[in-house]
Amino acid sequence: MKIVNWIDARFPLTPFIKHELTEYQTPANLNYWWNFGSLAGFILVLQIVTGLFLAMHYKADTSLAFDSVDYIMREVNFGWLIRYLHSTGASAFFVIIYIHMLRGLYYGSYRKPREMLWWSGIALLLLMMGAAFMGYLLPWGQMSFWGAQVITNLFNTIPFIGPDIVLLLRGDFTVGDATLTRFFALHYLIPFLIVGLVVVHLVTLHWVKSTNPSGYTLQRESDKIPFHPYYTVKDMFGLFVFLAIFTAYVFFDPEFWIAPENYVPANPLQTPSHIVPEWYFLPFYAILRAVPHLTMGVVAMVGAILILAALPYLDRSRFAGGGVNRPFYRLMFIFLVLDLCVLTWVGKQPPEGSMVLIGQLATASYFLFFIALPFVSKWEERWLLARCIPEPVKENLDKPVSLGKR
Amino acid sequence: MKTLLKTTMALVCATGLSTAWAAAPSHVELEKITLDMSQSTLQAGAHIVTENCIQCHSLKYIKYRHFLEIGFTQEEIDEMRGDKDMNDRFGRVMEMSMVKDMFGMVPPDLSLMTKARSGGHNYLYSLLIGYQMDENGNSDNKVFPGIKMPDVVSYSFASTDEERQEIREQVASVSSFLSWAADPHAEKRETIGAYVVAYLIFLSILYYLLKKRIWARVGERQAAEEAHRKQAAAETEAEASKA
Repeated sequence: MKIVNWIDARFPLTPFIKHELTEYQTPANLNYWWNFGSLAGFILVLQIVTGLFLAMHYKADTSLAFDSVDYIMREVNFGWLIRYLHSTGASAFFVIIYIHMLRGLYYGSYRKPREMLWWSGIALLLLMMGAAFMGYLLPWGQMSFWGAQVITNLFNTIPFIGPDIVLLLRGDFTVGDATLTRFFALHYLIPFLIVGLVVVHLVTLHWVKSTNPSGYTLQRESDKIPFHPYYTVKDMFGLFVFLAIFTAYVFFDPEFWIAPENYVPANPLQTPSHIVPEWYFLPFYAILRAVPHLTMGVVAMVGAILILAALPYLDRSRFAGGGVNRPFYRLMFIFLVLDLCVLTWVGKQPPEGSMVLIGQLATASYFLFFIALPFVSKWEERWLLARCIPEPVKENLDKPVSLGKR
Repeated sequence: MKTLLKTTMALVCATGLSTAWAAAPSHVELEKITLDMSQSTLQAGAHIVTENCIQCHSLKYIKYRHFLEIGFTQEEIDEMRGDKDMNDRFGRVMEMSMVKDMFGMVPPDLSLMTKARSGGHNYLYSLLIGYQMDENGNSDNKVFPGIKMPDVVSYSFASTDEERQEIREQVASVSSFLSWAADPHAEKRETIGAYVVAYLIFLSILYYLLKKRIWARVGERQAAEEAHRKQAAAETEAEASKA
């Protein structure tokens, strides 16, 4: 206690803990879908720690990289564990983040006043994608090399400066040693940018507070509970359930998340018959290939992510919340999730025959969600107003979901 | 919680389905075998590989020293390695240029073979016994049509079932050995994994109970507030009726 007092006189330790944990107010009715934010935080730390140990043994050199990964797997003490944690962790990170984002989408967490929270999340997703893409080059397998070759090529489509950007990214006229070293450097940097942005994300969250599944502001005083101990213990429970599933993959089927082709060393002279990105890029890859014109394909692919940022303005309903109180929004959400599954599946297939058409339809459907949202949300609002709606919903018209007075 | 459980189940089923689908990308049905990872089988496979395959294929991530892990004694390894060091790797015996002249390409390294092909050891097994002889006496492989490697195990030449069975057993031991070579820590990994997963499930249960206990207070507080509100409402009503 003496030590704490000493620190408190010099640094706001106790006030900080009070403000952010023991007295930080959270809605009591958050369901288990709200666990994924803290899970993402955990997996970020796991990736940084395992990445640190991998970097101690990894050699960023095209003639040594593949061998050094194998060396880690065979000869380093528990190197296989560190590497499998990292490779499985990358996929788990995306599983968690995609669920986290879909939760935000379903419950309307992106809506006013949480726009900044949503945007910082999208920026985090972009950083994560960059880190994942660069990290995938490091084992220097066939898919690493050809994936990087294909994706860096896409930047060529940027008018005027495209070829210069490609040269800057690769550090050479083709993906080679210069690319590997700079991707390694950036792969080590990005996680720390992510940590910084996560702090921004959390500060924003603690300013606007969590939304809640009911879709409107909670009225009772007892509906607000401090984060600690309630959500710390709930998050811990969620964490161990997640870890049980995660470690089951790490220890029993770690290769599930790794493409077999990547155990063949990179060979610039031999193109694999079928280049596919990692599963988490598949929907976007499908969108890229669905558009017949390459430049427009790149625009569509980038647009597919950036359009998420417009969501707070595309949803024009005066009813707060998301799918819980709004039946048509709920239908649209289900439609979008199914569409993303189709896109993922199409992205995995060679672009032949009916796959092309299915891919184009699914891509059109994806964008249709965002184009239709302003109209559907307004129409749905009128539809709901014309019907008998529960009193709390009516009372909360035009009121964003909040935790009451700040 | 229920929807989450349902969704998780659906996801688990979906991953299961996609594994089944991802495992067989080649158009030929692969033969599925259960690997025998006993030391005697691994040693038998090691003998076959290091005495035959090594002529053309390298096994570059395997060192003589590693053979201690599959139960070879130091004396046996000494006999195998001759004047080579314990830390020497298994390179191909033939000159690279010679192999290239014979087959038109350098045969791939075998150390990661069961990981580097989808279907893993089943692919390897099916490939090695996948040779068929046509009427003209030319053999080809049904798993990998146009493969440059000849029918090294003579499966397509075998005339009796016993012969075929014997070859199958040898090929199975080769598959076991190369699976070990690609993933030497698999056994240890799975042994540790069982403890880790069991421990985490146990801890999850404990945390669930703890969570339930701590969260009971929330229910109590909410019930108290409801009761308080009802009482207040009743009092105002009583006062109103009195007035």
